[in-house]
Amino acid sequence: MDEQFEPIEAEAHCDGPCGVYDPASARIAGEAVQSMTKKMLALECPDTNDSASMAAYLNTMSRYASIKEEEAQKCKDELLVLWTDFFKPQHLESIPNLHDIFWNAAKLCSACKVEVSSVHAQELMDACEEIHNLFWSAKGLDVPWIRAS
Amino acid sequence: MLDSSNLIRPVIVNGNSMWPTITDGQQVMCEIGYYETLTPCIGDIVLCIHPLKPSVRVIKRIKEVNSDGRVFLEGDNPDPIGSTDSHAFGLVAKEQIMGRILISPNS
Repeated sequence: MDEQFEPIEAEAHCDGPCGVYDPASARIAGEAVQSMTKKMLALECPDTNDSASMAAYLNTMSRYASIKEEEAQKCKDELLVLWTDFFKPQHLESIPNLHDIFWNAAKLCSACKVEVSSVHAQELMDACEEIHNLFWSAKGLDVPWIRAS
Repeated sequence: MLDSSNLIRPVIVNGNSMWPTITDGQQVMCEIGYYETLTPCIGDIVLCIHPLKPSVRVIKRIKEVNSDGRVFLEGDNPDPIGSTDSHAFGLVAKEQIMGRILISPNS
């Protein structure tokens, strides 16, 4: 084949270390927050004179609260990674309210951490769903929203 | 404008940084020497010499044209980690642009 008709090979990829991002991490943590919130609200207080029952109650409630706070912080961390690492300035052109969405989602993580609010827990999940949709849309993929619980 | 004096060469594209316009493995045609007489325009897809790796050819879209004639290249892929382009290697001199990529509307 004449050299002038041979194909030229051109690179069209990234040559740096690729990060792996997935909003599922935030969603799972958010689900744990909502689950712990529901359990805390549903846990019935026993007879306060029954020391053994009270000990079990306080132990269970403490564990629920500890897990809720831990998962709320984890959810916030995962959201911040998406916000500051995955999304780039050019995404603001198509998502002008991107900063507000993440700022509000991070605030909801804080609210869920310090409160026992089923309303804020649901709002956090709604925020995670919105970010899920924005993320996969930015990658040009149609990934349905799912929940593990 | 297609100049009959320019050489049309096939180009095999490796990678998805130009997705969805050009996909991995797709063959496109390049008008070599197109910019010897014409000024690069925003929106053109170009074949150029990688500024940091002279043996590598890259295919990107012109995002901006600097006042000194150098261009800012960017991949079409919206995934911010899906393209190594002028965000990483900076502005590219016109002399490093080998030609303009020809894309049919239906490709």
